[in-house]
Amino acid sequence: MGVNKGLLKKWCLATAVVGMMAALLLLSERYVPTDATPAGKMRIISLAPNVTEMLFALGLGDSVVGVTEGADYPPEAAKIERVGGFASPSIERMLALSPTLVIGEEGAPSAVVTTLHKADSRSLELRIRNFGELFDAFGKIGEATGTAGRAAEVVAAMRAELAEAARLYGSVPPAARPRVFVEVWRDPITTAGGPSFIDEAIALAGGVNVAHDVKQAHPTINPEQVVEWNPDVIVLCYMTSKGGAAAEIARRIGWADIAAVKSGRVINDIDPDHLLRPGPRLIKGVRALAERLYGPRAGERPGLAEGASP
Amino acid sequence: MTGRQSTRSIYVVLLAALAIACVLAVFSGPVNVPFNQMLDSSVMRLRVARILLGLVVGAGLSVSGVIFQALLRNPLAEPYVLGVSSGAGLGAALAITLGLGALGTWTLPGMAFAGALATILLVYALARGAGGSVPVHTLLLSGVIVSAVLGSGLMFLVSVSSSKNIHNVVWWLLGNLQILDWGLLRAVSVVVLCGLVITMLFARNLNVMTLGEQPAAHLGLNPERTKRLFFVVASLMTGAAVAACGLIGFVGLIVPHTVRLVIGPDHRRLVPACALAGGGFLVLADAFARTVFPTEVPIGVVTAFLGGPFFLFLLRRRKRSYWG
Repeated sequence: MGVNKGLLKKWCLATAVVGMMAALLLLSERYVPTDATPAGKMRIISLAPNVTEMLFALGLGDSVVGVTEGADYPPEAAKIERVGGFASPSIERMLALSPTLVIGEEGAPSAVVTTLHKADSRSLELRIRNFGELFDAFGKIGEATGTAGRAAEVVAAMRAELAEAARLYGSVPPAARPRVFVEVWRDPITTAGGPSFIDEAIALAGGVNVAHDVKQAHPTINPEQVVEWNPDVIVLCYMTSKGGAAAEIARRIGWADIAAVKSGRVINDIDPDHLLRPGPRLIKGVRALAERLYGPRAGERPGLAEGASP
Repeated sequence: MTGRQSTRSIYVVLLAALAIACVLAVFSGPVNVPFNQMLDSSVMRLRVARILLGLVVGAGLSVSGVIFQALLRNPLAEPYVLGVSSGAGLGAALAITLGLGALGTWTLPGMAFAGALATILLVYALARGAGGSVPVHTLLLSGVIVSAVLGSGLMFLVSVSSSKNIHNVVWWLLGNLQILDWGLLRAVSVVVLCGLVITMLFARNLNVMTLGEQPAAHLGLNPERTKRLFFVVASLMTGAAVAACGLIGFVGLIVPHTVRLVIGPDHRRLVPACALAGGGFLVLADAFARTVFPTEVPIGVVTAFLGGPFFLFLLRRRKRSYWG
């Protein structure tokens, strides 16, 4: 009898444990924090600084409830809650914000997207490698947020700016175009290759990217290669800091003979956020680059809007 | 292998190998230089600077390895065993994540060197027992522990820094011989050359130290002073090498052992032979690293990939145990 009693106890205990686990499992499945969302109000999380800029350009600033580190423009974006870095957004923080839409750039961790999907929030993954894809991305965001009209306006304004650049610099014959080397990092020396939007920006500004034939977007370059390319203009545009030292370029071993160094055409005063961030301000980067290459043609420039920001 | 004749022939072979490595390295690179412009071109200046750095760093790391193996009487000892690498890595990562790298070309190597020196001082202070003696095993242990702690600090910095910074820190940690500044090359060369000269002058003391500290004392050597001297010399050489080109692994482990297999354990011959072999090996590995694949491969990958199998081959051919 004693044996049976013990056995019964064990069975009861086992059943209780299994039951509790099942209950927990069910509860956690049911726990979806979207209940807190008031119906009709958009709550958007942006997983990249350029996406944040695009959302503000579309007038959606008030709906953005979460951004990543580095989202510093427009200034209002800096006050929005951070959900982590570009490569490591925190799923918990994102869920706590109960978003209705999460917008990231290609390369966001897939686990994040899957989890959010389970939590009933839509996600949008953008792929922006050139101006065409930037315009498409505006369209996609517009569609997903019901601001398609505004998106079309912003894209039209940017296209007008590009057409203006094409009018000013598109007619420059290939031989007269300055050959440009853009250095986006120094150690290792990194530039922008053919598939990058920076390459496109250089072309739009009337220059020729010396690294155009390199098939990577951001290749590491041997300094020998730069010496051989012998660019007419060197643009220093580092991601993490404003402006490299032009004097340092001239002191590099073997670089004194490069045409750009000889003629002193080393440019380091373009805001990296304008040239390295594929968002609404990329137009400003193109304009800044064109002005450095050809000089400000003040008389020829009609008063176009500052980028696409409202 | 003990005769004067064979020693001389080994040096001749090493020098020839070094020369061949340098010639190969001069002709290899992403850019083709016409033969008649070889002597005076910017590309050549870059390549020569890179070869010189390879020679200096290879010699410095190899001889540091020899010194640490003798001092710690441990075949696994290498230049980074006492935490120089973690200290330098932490210094460099700090410079990168705080954005100090943009202040000037010297900030990053300077921070790395400072990190290496601070680590060495810390390890030495921790290992120093009563009466000022520094037992070898305590030194080794405190070195390994400090290295682990600093390594976790490095990983912490990497994990909290932005993705762009991570790329730069990782690149630095992988090591490469690209140099853009003559001044930096000069500074590293001075440190390593001074270290080499001192090591060669006192190479006999290293022989005595491998017998053990008590026998060394009986033979009239002050073991503590010898340890301190070589500890400082090897650490400075390693710190300078790491500051100039990041962490290049395996050279300081494999070159000393390989050379010891060929030339024997006498440090008076071992040290200069290691300097030559280490320099040649690194120059060769670098030429390999920048030509075999379209994009440059980290040199640490090449040193381990080329050096490891070669060392194992030598080890298998010598059936008898060669250590101790």
